[in-house]
Amino acid sequence: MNIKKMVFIITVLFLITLSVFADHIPETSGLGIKYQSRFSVIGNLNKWNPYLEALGNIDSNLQPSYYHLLTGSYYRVHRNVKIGVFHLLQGGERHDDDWVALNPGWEWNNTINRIENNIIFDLTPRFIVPYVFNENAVGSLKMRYQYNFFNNHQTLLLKPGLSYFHMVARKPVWNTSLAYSFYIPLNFSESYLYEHGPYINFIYHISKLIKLEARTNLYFKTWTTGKDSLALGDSYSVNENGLSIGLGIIFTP
Amino acid sequence: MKNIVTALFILSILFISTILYAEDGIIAYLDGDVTVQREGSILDAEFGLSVFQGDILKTGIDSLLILELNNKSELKLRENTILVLEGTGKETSLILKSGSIFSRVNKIINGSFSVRTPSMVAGVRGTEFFVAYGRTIETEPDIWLCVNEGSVDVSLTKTGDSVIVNEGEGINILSGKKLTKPEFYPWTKKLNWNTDPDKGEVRDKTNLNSAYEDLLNQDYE
Repeated sequence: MNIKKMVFIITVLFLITLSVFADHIPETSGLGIKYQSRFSVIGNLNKWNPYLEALGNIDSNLQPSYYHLLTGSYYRVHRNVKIGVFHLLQGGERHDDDWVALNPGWEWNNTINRIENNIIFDLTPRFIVPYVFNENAVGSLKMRYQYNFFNNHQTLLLKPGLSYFHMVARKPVWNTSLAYSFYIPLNFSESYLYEHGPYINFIYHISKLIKLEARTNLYFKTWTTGKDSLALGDSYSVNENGLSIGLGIIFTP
Repeated sequence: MKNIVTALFILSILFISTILYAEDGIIAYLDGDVTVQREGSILDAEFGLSVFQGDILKTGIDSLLILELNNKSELKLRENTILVLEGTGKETSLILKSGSIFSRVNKIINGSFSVRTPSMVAGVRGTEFFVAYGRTIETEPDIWLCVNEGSVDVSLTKTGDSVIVNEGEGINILSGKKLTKPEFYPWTKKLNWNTDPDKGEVRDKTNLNSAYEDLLNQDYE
């Protein structure tokens, strides 16, 4: 066998190996765009803030990709601190293990009809930022522990944020918030951070009762080895970036 | 003849004294630390103490004072309030230096009744209203005024802008400079207008912070 022939065979084998290996790695398609709509009702009963949120995403093909119903309540334990307990019912959530081997090939599970129950415990300190914006700015650190009953995944969300309220005659007319989310997997994933990204919103206060919201966030997600890949002895870490654009209506009775 | 002149002189003195020292009201109720500043001296307030034009009334922390004026008007001073009885009688004029007061003005009064702060004048004829210093968010403190009965004509000292505040409505004079549109404020429902201890609690415990938006409670996530 001459050298040229040997190089050709090795190259072909390498390419075949590479392509087979690549099948085991989740597909990510550049910067994915999701369109989001949110409807929420946030009550105010003494120190309680009962909360209901319905949220839905559609992907760039205008197909539903995720939805959830969040119910629960915040309780103000201190002027600057609220705690909350919520139930999250979600569909379309995708996990590392949803990258599955078919025969042949690999693909993401279609999870849109899979309902997952979660419980969330929230602790959010908030404080007026002194000396700036006439003290109409609020800093916060949202800390959320989430337990997913579907796969026992436990997640910690840390979300520092800053909100500015534009006041006219001592009443907020609009507000905008900037935050950054860090999703920390507590008992899953090979990454310390499975998702993170900045978030910005704008809320116009039509009245004390009704607010309109526009929101957008960038997300940087890390997919790590799912169980099917693990069974084949593979190991990977793949990044997926996306953009979410949403509109919402908020009722505050 | 000499005796008659002497008698007339004494009567005149007594008459003038009566006019000069006629009380303009009395302290009907008090609780806590209350003082009356009169002609440079400070008196401890007590039930039934007469008050006069020019008196400066002060309530301390967690204190309360109820006055009955001779024109049948009633005033209730909340804690940490300083009120000057600038004018009394038919032309009653009060200067609110700090704190907050409830005023119940008798409808049969044939004159005027006004509460002033450095930035505004609230003039009435027969009504119940509440005036309070609010937060200092800009340069000067806000002034809150709300009406429980009747109506109040509020005018700004500097600009002359004025507005009628009707029963059930309130306004805020922003930094003492700008009148807001009269409207109903939910927090005013909590005000205790009672000035008669025999009819129940007279202390008003409304937290004036509730007059302001609580930004810490505005979390939409």
